[in-house]
Amino acid sequence: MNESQINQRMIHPELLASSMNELTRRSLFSKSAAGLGAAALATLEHRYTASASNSGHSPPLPHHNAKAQRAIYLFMSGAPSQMDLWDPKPNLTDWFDKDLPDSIRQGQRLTTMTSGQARFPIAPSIYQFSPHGQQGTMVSELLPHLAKQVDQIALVRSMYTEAINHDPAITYICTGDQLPGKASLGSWLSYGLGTENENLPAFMVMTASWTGRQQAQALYNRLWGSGFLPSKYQGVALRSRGDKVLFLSNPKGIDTTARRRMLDTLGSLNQLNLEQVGDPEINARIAQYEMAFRMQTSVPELADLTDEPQHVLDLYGPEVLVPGTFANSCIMARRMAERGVRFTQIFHRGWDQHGTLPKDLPKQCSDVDQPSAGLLRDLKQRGMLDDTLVVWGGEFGRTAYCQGNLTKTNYGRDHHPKCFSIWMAGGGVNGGVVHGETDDFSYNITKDPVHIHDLNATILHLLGIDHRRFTYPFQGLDQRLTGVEPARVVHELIG
Amino acid sequence: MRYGFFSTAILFLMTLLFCLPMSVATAQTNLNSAVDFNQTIRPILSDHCFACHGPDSNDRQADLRLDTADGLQSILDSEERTRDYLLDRIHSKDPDSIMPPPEFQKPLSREQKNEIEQWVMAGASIEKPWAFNPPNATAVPPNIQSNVSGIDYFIQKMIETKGLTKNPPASPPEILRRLCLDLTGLPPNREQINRFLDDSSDATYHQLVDELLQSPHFGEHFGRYWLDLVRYGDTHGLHLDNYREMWPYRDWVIDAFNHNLSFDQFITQQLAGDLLPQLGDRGLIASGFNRLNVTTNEGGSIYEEVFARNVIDRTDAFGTIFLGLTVGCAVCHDHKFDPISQRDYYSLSAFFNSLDGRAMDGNTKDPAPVIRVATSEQESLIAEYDQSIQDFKQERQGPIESVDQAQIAWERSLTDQSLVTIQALHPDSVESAAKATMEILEDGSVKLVSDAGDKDTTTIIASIPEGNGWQTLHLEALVESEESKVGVSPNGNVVLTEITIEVGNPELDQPWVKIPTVYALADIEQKDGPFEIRYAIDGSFKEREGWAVAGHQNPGERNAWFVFAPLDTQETNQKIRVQLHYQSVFAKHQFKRIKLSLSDSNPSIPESQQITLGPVFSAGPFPIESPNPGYARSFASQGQAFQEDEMFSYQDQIFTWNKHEELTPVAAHELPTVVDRSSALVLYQNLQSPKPQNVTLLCGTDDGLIVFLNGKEVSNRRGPRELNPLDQEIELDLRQGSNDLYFKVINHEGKSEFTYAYRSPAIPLPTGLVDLVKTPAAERGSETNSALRQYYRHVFCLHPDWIALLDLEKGTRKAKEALEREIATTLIWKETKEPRAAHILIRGQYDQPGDAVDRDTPDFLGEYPSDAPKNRLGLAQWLTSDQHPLTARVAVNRFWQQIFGTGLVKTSEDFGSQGQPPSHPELLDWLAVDFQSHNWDVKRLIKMMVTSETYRTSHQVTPELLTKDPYNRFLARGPRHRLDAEILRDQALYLSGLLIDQQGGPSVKPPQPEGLWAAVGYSGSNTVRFQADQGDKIYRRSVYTFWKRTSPPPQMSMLDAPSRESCTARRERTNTPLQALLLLNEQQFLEAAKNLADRVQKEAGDVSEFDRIRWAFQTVTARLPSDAESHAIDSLLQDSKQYYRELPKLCEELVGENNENKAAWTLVCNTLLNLDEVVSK
Repeated sequence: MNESQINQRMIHPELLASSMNELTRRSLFSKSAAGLGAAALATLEHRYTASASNSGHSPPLPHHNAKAQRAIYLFMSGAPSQMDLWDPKPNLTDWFDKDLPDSIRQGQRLTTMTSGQARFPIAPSIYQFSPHGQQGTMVSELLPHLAKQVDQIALVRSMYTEAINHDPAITYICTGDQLPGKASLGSWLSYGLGTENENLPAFMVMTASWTGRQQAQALYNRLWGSGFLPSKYQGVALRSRGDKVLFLSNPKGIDTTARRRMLDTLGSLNQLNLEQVGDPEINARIAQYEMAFRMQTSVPELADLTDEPQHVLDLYGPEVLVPGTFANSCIMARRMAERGVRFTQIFHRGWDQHGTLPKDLPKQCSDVDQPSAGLLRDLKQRGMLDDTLVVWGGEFGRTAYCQGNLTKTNYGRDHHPKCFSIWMAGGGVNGGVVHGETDDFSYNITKDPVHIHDLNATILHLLGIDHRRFTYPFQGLDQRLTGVEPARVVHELIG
Repeated sequence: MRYGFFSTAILFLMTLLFCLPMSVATAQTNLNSAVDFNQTIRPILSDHCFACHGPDSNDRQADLRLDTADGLQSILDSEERTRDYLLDRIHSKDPDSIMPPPEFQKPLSREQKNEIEQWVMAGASIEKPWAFNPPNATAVPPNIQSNVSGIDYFIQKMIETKGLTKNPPASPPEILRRLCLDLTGLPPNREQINRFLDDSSDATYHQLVDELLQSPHFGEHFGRYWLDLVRYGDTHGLHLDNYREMWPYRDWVIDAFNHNLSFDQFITQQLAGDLLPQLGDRGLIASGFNRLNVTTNEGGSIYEEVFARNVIDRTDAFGTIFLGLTVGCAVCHDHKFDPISQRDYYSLSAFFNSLDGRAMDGNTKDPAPVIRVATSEQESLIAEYDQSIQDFKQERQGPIESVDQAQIAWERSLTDQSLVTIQALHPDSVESAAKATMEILEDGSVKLVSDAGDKDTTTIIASIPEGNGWQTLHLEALVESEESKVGVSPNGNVVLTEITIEVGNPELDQPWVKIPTVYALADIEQKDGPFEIRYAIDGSFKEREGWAVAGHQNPGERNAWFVFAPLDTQETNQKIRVQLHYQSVFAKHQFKRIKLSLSDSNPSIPESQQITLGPVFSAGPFPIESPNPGYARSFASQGQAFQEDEMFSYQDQIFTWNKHEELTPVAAHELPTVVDRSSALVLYQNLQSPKPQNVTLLCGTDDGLIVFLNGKEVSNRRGPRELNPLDQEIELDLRQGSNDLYFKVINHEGKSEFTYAYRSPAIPLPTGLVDLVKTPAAERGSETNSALRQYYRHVFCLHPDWIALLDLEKGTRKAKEALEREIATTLIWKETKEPRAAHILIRGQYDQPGDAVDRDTPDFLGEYPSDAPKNRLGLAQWLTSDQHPLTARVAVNRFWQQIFGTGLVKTSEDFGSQGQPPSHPELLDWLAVDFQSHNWDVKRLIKMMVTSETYRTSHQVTPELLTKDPYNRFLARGPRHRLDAEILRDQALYLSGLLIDQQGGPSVKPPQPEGLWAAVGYSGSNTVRFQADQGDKIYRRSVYTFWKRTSPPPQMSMLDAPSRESCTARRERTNTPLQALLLLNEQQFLEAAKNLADRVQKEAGDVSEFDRIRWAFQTVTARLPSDAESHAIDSLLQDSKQYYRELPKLCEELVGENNENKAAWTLVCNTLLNLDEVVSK
């Protein structure tokens, strides 16, 4: 009997558990949490608990040798302006206040925020770009720290999407569909790969503070929700105030001793009931309460930065100790990666620069530049960058033409789905690569387009997953993160 | 050591994998000795073959389809092919030959190949898809019928077939708790426990079932499942995710279950309640079902795209909720697995595309169409207000003696200027507070002859001339020549901080009485600060405010008119005292020479000084995808120079200016709009002014209105609103010469009403008015008289009686609006007059319409009744027909799922070929037919389920059952699983006595950890800040908890509640450490433990601690604890008492007092509420 056959048989997970008596699956996994065997076990466990049908035809994960064991996704919500940061268009200086040629726009539908504008005057970036790294990659002066990391980074200048507004676009890139109801990238990974540390969730999310435009685009729980996957795979928010994880702390008046004593009684009562009723789910519940108790220690320990030496803190910049900042979230992400959290996603808002871009964009960049770079350096110096994938990017790009009033020093940019820039680093990524090109207006892709599904396929690939075979049956379809149309792993980005 | 453990574990697991599953496999193979086509073969073919050889005609390979009997036959037994062909292809080793092809990534397992082979060998019988034929009930043998329900008959038959052993009946506590939780979502109370444990006879059980079915909690509990399914939420769900007011729909659902509305009616009223006028508001509220989809108003949205998405969402929901089919697969192409073509899909969607309302939600809680659902108290109050407003309106339009008198005087003044009396005042005295020297000249003017003080007040007293009805004081500030400036200050400017007008005669013991100035006009006012004339009559003497006359900028004289209620000059020898207060911070800003006169008419100025109004032009209406872009976008030459012959290209259409003589001031006009869409209309009028001056523009519309004067936006008021003619006053700062005035009217929907007029002495009367008033009133005709009256009253009249009347009406309207804001609205469906055209959308793209389609239903699900209308009512008729194969099956299956934990069809959202076949096909059909033939009676159906033996069986899990039927699909044991989030919370509140048992009303916000909404919310959203409710509201049942779809309550979502953004037919049941933390630590769960501890002390009676433990345990589980259990709890109790005694501070933190008994009991109750037995049913 081969493994895929095993999958097609319905083995009740608790069947395994009950046969193991005291040896819960959880404890088994934790104590053997190394190597492929453990991953296979984890996969089995996840597959069986989750599978809604008997057609679970995904072979155990990973499908192939994973280059990355975990990933950190730095999400710039609101859509950063590619031509002010990563995709320089020096020739546009001559185009100041001239109209975007129709040959470039090609009748593309615009958002209704600018579709009524009489003109589409070009707003050249006012920021200087300079060459960095071994390939002389051009990076904006707004990102001095990241510029020094370009040799670690695979830069993609040819991302594109179909969605033109924030809600559908961010839902699309995070869940593979523009409409609510689908599972997020992190929940897929949590479902497929489980966690390396049973005392922490597999998928954690942070929403960082920002200093640019305060009227920022919304986020939605669905961006880290589990959609049709069981809710245990949804992202768990690490919060900057109150309990780090919801309901983590014992209430006032119940200290650890009292809690331990109470849990012992709860465990023995549940055990007595198990003997009467025989339902193996009771065993699983006992285990979850024990894990909850362990999390009460492991999470505060995770969030406690007092053991970080100053030279490490310095990597992330001056705000590293301010709770809730992007810098603080970045060092927290590194600590999670160290502890085996499979996927961490930081959402940084405020990138939606429709107007007064020169006022807001520098603030946004200063929020994230040093911390992002610091994260790469910190992972590198710990030898973790090799198997930790870092992704940086937003949900779409911005227009070369100006929204609102254009002056030499002030402009705004509307949404632009047809091209934008993202980068990846670590975890098997080929550092120093610059992939894809756009036309002189950063409007159309002229070489090597990468769809957001391709990006997600590539992320999955680096984590050892073949996106085509990574499915979950729901509503009659084998659902995939990358949708029904073919998506492509961008091998050019992989080292 | 670690390695050792690891390898042992692996070895152990390997053993499990290779031995245990084998036995399962063997067991299952034995159970299924004959391979059933619908049970086994069709699912394999569907999952592995249909994608290329299925219903999708556009993508069918080799012209072969395996989803039909004919297609299958062609490869099994035809001239070209024999049975071996199929087996050869699935067993082939050749990658070019094997099916499915390797690149399809879905190989058949050996097991599946064997099953196909067995099926072929056994004769390859083909059956129609089970779900698409009308249910056909297998009769229950008559000898069994009398004492066994159909349910038990079919279940028992299957138990025997599968070789299982049925459990004994559940113990009374077990069945009592299961029953109460299943029917009401609440555990049994003490009374029920005592009663049932006292007498658990069959009769008592039946009586209890009836009681529970009658309880209002039944509807709350059953309604909740429905609300998951239909994705009910309290916010719109997308982007801003603002508040949406729809809870009357939620209450309708609860009420429908409580009143046992037959399920076919339940369906019909939700689909088409708006088409059943006999239902009144109830039907409209129910029709809100069709509005439950998520909506957006994101700034850049493209209207057509949002529109298409909404229609698709509604159609998909219809499929999931009623058909149990994934029709949404056919949005982009023919369905790959079920015979639903893309044409079928869009024909179905055509039932849902004609909402008489906009696709975008406007970020309001009540995007149209909506109705208000007022309480009876609110209703009568509104009626009272309406009556008053009506009365005021009538009064306003009817005769008012004092006002009409004033009108006659005004008319007279128009026809014969000689009848207007203007009398210059000849002051008796003039006085300067700063002791400046003033002189009275012959013409009555007053001149400053000395140096001016920095600040001053000039007091002028004069006799009131003979005559009646003085109502305007005219102040002329005179200059020596046209080039000289009006003020004495070095720069020539003046600021009059205040003017007061009094009447009296102290010499005759008549004290000075202040005459309130109701209205003031100036020919020139400065706009660079609080310098308009109104600051001179506002009763305040602020040194930075007042009428500033721009004397430093332009030479020449200035005029101001101060209007007051007509003076009653019956008293003789009355005097008038006028004080000019110059208290400005600007020194010496005083007039050089002024002249005062009184007039008995409203101010008017000479023709040479008058403003000339040009004709009104319009351009548009311009269609817009939503109101928002209409406000932002520029239309025609809005705000720019006007050219009568200019043409405007907009969305491939040319627009020009049209002249409108009929758009006269004052009268209400209906402006053109675009059917079904929002639109913008631009109006233009030219104003020629002989000098810079201010006029007041009065307007009123039921739409949004933006006004531009000379390229500047001067007013921006968003609609929609109720028309209140001329209610808006806009000050226009005219320049000398030509002035371009543009109105941009943004029509959100419906008709567009517009009124305008000008108030200024410099604006001439409308053409013909003078002729009109010359005609004797009796000869004018009543309409003209009333128009004239309206004109006079709105534009000229300042009579105090009139003003008071307006104020009263305004106040009442305000009060009514405030009340209306409190009345709940609910979204409903309203159909457009004509159905919208529907098209196939090529590849599902909103901007690529293909063939037009008519409303229709897929043929394979039964014919559309020939006599049924082609609307949602007809659709409901089709759906609830006895011949419909799915509706009843899908419904009974979901009720089964509610009661037994898993549906007979496990995939309760998908009855198509990708769904799971039913575990008990005969039972499913029997139930469906029984349900239909008993008038779709829900309570009867539920009663049948819960009184069955199957339901009342013990849930004990024996090793045999676990091995043979791990998921309890065959129900040899009773259902047992973790409770839903809502039940867990409600149970804790109920057991502790905290639950507030109140039905219906607005959603409530129990506490949740800080910052959850803010962490995700758009800063401008009205749900970005969470504010917990206070008092009773936080202890209501969870079905009333406010559901923000982009950030649902964590107490719910952590326990598998869906976000309600999309339809959820069944919830997963996970088991996670975060759930443990929630149940242990969350504020309300802890509060429940504390209160339960109190309850134990109060209600267990004066008994031993040990008996209290037994009482508490029984309260939460319905059963008494074993001795071992009691001892375990007792030892926790005693240890905790000891512990809290030693740590009084900790004790106080927990229970607020130094009471170790209370603290220890709280900990015990926290334990009890977390028992697996309590968390599960």
